Amino acid sequence: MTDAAESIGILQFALDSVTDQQQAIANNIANENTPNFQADQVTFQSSLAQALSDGGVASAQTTPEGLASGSNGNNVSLPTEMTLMQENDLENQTVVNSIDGQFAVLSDAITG
Amino acid sequence: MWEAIDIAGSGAAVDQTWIDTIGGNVANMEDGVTPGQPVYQAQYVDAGAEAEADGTGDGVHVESIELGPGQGQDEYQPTNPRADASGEVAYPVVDLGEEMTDLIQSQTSYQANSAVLSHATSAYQSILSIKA
Repeated sequence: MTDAAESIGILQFALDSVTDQQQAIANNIANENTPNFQADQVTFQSSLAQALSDGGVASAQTTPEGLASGSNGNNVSLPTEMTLMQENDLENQTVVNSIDGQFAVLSDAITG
Repeated sequence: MWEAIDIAGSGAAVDQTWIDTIGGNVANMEDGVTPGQPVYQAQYVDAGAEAEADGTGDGVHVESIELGPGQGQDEYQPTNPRADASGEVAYPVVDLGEEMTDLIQSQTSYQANSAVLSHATSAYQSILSIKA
């Protein structure tokens, strides 16, 4: 059983990770035409799930997307990045809504 | 803070430089000179990734602007006042097809960066709306 403060801590990690993820996507798109640029992605979901089940510490990983490169050695795929950006938007909203919900619970508890 | 906005801005700035050079190349492609005189050299933007400070990347910058051939291509135009003794005029080496393709690419890239800008703004706004 997690209390509200603990939940907010977990959600804070998720929000930080979603923000890192957004930064990586923005960087991939900005470098769409940079010769030899390789796209990176930030993942944290599996690490968070693992940490929640075994009580460990979750971390966000930056790894290469590893798609095939074009003739200029660049492997940014605009459709892929646009899709990731939409997903990232929804994840961001989900996390923010959850944080709001946790604060609402705390606020109710305090004011009674 | 607001990294995604800065990154998208850096991308749009590189695209803007790219579009500017395309404009210059197309505008100057008919600048004929007497062979032997300096001819307009087409400009090509080379982008470079910004060094990563924290692993997730920090945007992009114009690495260098490469120049096209300094030697023009001669065309036989004996009535042109710039023609040399053998009737040749030198024109800059600019491939209009290539410039137009680059223009579409740079435009698409600019749009993508501006989409990132608005997505990032709304994401940050939703974070700012959190209150207890």
